[in-house]
Amino acid sequence: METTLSYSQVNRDLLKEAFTTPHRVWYILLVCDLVVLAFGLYSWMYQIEAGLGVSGLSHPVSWGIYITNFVFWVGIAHSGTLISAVLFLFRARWRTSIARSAEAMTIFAVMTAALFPIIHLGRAWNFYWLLPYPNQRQLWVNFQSPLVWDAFAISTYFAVSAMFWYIGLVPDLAAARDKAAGLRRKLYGFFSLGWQGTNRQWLHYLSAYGFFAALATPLVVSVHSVVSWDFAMSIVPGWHSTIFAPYFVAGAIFSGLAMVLTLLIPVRRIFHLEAYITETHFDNLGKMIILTSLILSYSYATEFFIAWYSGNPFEREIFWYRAFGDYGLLFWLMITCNCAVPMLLWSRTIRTHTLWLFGISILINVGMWLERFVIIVSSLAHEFDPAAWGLYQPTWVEAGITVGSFAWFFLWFLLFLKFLPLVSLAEVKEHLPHAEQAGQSDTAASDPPLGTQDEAAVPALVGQGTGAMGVFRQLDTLVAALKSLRQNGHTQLSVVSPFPSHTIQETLGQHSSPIRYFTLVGGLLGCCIGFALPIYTALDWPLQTSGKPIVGLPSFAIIAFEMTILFGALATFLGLLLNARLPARSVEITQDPRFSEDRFGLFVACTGQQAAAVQETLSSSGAEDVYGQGV
Amino acid sequence: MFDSQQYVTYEPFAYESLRQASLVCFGQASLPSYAIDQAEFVISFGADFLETWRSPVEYARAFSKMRAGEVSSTFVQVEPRQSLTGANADTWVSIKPGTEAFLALGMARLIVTEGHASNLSAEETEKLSSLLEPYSPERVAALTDVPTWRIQSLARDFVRQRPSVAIGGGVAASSREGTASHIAVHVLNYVAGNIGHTVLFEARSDLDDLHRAQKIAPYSRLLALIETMERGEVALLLLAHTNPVFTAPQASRFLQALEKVPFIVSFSSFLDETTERAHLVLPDHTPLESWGDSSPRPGVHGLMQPVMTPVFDTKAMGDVLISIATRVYAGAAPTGQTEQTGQAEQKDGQAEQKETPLKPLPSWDSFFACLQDSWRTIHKQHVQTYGAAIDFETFWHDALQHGGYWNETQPTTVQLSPAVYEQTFAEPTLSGPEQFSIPLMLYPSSRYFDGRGANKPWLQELPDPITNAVWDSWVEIHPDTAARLGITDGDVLILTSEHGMLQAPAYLYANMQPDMLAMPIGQGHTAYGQYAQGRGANPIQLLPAESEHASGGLPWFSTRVQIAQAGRREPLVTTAGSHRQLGRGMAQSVTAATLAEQHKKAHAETGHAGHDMYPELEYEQYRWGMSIDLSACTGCGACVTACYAENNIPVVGKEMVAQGREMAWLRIERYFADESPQHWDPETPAVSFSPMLCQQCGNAPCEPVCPVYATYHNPEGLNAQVYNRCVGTRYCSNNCPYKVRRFNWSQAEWPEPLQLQLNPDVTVREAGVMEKCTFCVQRIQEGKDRAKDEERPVRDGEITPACAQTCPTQAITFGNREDPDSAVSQQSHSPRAYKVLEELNTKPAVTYLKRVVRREKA
Repeated sequence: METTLSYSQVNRDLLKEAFTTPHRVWYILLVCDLVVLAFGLYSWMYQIEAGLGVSGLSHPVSWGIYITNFVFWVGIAHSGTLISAVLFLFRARWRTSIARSAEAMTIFAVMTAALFPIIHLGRAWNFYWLLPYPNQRQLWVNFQSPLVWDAFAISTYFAVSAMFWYIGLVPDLAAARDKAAGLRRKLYGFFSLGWQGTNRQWLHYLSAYGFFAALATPLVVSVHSVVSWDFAMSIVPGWHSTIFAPYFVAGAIFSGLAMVLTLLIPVRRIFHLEAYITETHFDNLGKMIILTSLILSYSYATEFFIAWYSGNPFEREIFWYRAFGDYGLLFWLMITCNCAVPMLLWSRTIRTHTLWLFGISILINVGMWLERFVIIVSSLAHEFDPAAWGLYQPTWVEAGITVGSFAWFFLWFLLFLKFLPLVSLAEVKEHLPHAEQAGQSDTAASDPPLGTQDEAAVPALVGQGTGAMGVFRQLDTLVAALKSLRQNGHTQLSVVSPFPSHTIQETLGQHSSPIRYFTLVGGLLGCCIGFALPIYTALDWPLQTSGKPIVGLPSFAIIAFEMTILFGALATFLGLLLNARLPARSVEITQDPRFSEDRFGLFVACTGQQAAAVQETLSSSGAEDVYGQGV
Repeated sequence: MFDSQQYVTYEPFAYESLRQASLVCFGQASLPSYAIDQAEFVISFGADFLETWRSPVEYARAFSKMRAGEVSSTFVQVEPRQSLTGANADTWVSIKPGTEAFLALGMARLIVTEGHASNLSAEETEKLSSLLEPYSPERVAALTDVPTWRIQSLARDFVRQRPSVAIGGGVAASSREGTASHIAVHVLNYVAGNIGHTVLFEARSDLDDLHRAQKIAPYSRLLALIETMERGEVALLLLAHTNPVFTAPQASRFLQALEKVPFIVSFSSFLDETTERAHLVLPDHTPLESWGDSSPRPGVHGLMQPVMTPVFDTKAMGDVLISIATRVYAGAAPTGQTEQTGQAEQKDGQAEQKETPLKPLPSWDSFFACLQDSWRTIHKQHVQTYGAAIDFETFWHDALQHGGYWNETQPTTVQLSPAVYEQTFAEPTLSGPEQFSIPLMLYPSSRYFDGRGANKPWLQELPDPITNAVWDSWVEIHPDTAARLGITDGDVLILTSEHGMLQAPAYLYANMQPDMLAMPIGQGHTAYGQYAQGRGANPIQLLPAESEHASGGLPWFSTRVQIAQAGRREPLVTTAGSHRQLGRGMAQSVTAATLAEQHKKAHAETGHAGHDMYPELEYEQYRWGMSIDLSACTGCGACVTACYAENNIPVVGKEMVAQGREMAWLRIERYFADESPQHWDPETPAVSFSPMLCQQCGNAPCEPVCPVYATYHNPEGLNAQVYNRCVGTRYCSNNCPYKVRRFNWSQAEWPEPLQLQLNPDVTVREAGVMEKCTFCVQRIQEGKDRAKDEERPVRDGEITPACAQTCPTQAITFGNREDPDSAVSQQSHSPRAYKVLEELNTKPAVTYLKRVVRREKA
């Protein structure tokens, strides 16, 4: 990241799209996207009207492109969480520039993936039967079915990712609100929940963000494990394998990283984000792709080795068929895309060359889609009973729905590009060297307006407290002022800042946030419910499936795990809202748009009599602007 | 009344040559019965008695009786193309088409020369010896392509394993030398002393005359009628349920002759090719709506009553004829004007009133009265024979209840007629000049027979037992011949004979003679309703017109054809995946010797007991189970169609089957031997069949994967399927190793009036729902309800699923596995018992009994 960036430049760069008329390319892309989406919708309607017979699905291959797409999109989702949560926990700062869009990709990919189980159903209009609720005869779902695990895992994943993403967005939405006018101001204002960036809010924010990252990390591993168990829990040769969970998780991250590149390379070019998304990012992503590609290649090799080594005739047949049977060509194409092509990234030149990277990322996407297709279709085509072998050939309806799903995904991504900041403003500012800000010539005052600023002058919320406010241009000055005020015996101090700062918190002597108790209680509650619900429903109406026990604890543990994460996340979110007093109806400190951009505010709560003296102190401490509130 | 002598009852397969051969050999022009069930050694020269030949259900039942027990008797099938019957043989002998007689004669010669023909008189021995003299094993081997050692071993086994029986017939034997073939087989039976023991000629009965209208005329009578018609001597032609336009060769000029008839009336339920050309169609009731009777052989009188009210505005042909006759009689002035009334009739025609000129008409007001009248004769005979005091009403109701009346007739003893000694034997001639190089053999389809079955969607969708093809016809060609001509599977071939031409896709079939083609009869309709029309080709049109000299029968093996390629491919739509078992033990077999070994050891059901993670499931009273005896199963597929009928399974059509969307809950898996055709041991089965249906597993892999409990293990061990709960994830089908679950890809339709087929006890499933076999749970429920009403447990054998009920060989047994004395429990402990894919530990409730074969595969 170039060191010459100023805080307000960050606002300018990253909020620009939200306030300017979009690029012509954006409109062209949007129209094309809507046309494709309409065709996809038409294909789906036609399928619902005529029955699944219009697809190429048949006996014995009754899972095809729809499930392929499902697994593909869930896989795409994974790298978003990896970048936003796992790299956060590892304190890999380079994640900042790509985390927001990677996470947006996660959410949109899950939204796309979640369509496919519904599209795939024989009676799509009854999809809600898969949700855990008692039907009119008081029968619940079968918690031993991997598909129910799937429903839990995917909905938990969507909920947690969405909350995580939203929490990260709130300060940026507030910054957009402060720059906006009219309807935009109302909307950004609504979604930013009245965020101000006070030191208390930042404290809870950081705590909640950390817990979300901690919850999302095991979740992301579990989600693709559960997806892989849709296959591994069956007895189908070529599916029934213990390596499926790690194998699928690695594959998911691999494909997700490729999709991040596919999306960001053009975005960076079109929106001129070279200052934010740099060679370092490509370099790092490239290395991760090499790693995951090698894991995947190893998994492929393991599958074949075990099939041969086990001596199991069904396994041997299916893997021979996979490589040399009807779908052999697709298999070798998959091997080329997933194992051979990524090895080009060992070269640093290729790794940092956007055109090369873009091409490779597309090939990886193709390869990973093929991987799912090959696993699903070739295994089903050659199962145990030789007389029941068969083939599958997708039809135009399936192709239409598939391209429609890409349009659906890109529609959301296009809207995201237009209306939300691509990179987290607060995080970028947090990682900018603060000392150098002094050298920046431009100020908020000299900025060309982003939106209509007439209304921006009018504060959205007027503070209820009384006291004095000092506006500081530099963090160091503010900290110095804080220290001197505390020495003078002022305890009612609040800082409003555009990004969280540990220095401020240390100076204020803030304690850790109580949010951790919310997370703990929520998680434990979720775990209990996750065991209690399946046990209760199974005992309430015992139905024997296979030779399994009615209360199948190994299966229920998966439900309990997902519920732990879901309830933990919900409680964390609730804890954040309660502790940070969001959404804010009445605030202590009057809103000042400067504080979401490049200024720091120091508010000293005091009586009217003290205010004048405090204002004097603030001025002398280096505040460039001082004013009283409620006095 | 008008004294028409032109009364023809025409059947395409009328067995004229067998009748004629019996006349020549034994002075009796009738069809003998063959006591297959009592035989230890059966050799059939091409008779497909498990498919279409004469009374296939009766013979299939007899066949399974012969096969009953674990040490099996021997069945040898000699034919140029392996039929379904041949596929069920212990030994299948491939023979040059039309030379069957020589093999029979060669065997007879060996029996006589080796002194096994002890029942012959000295004179017979001498004369037969000289008749058989030319047929030394070496010469027969040269004529027939059957190796000398095989001829010798067959002859020896034929006399060693008594009682034995030789059956002649089949389409290949109905060549221009068909009668001679049958005579040769009769001679073989005669020298082995089988006549009167396993080959029975029934005595003629006084009642035979009752059914004289059903006496089938030879094909030559049809030719004579055609000639009369062509001369314009037929003013009125009445047709009853007959379709010579389709079933008679085009060369017979029946079509042209029809044009010379000024007025044609057809009594028919369907608009077939012949009815289409009638001037007046008087729609008759279908058999399900009709009264009727039939006597297939002396002593057996079948009685048929309507089972439903007529669906359409139809009138029984008998009623029409009676009312016309009554009116005509009333207004007839005996002016001497005689009409030639040609009437081509099939079975069920009662037309006595036609034959007595101006005798007072019987006072029948309906066909029913006429039918009862003829049964009064049977009643009278019954009373006379048994001295039973039974009034007609009781007798009639008794016959209705039992479906007929039968009295065992004593077989007559017959003597070899000296005419036999004059018989000459030759290879049959074939029409067609030299460039028409390949002989064509036609055989009746086991599904459509002579074509009359082709309008039934159930039969169209039933896979052919051998090819597994549906809704189509094909040309069978040996792979070597195909390779020589550059033909691959599915290439459309153009067959040209002197008399016609057709196009049909090639099916490469290794189990046949290389220098011939074979084709099933039955498809290629140009009319006959939407299901029959425009499917496949009708090979009858390739045949020459003339009948066999000796018998007047239609020679089905009588022409050569020229092969050309149409330059396009239309691969057959089949239901088969892999054609081989790949050692997976789907359809298993065992030799009698191995079985005897196993008998010494105690046999227990194998399994993975002790390896289970969870305890064994327990059942309160019932666990329904099934056993399927692969020694009895012939692979005919009747169970499949029975399942369609019972369970409202929709027919989906050729295009959908091509996509793998057939809905059959029960299928017959057909596997060719794993070895390549060149290395087949004829003593091991080249084809194996195995009915595959839901195994109602104890550890059903389909059950736990369903998210909505649409399928679960019910307390009686059934793998239940709740249709209205199914949301259609299809996971269950993926996880079913037997692949017996069927998904409704589209909304099933039963176009009017096929909705009348629907079984009211079974729901019709909507699109998007998975369905499957549950051992006819509606029948189980009915049986349990009955038992409950009578306050007793269900008795063994009381409940029969549709498949078991229909199986002609009783290969399927259903019952309660919890009851150790039930037949199904007993069979599950047989040394032949095995479970399919047992290693998966699915614990199926279906036990298969291995087919007993002569020799294990090498």
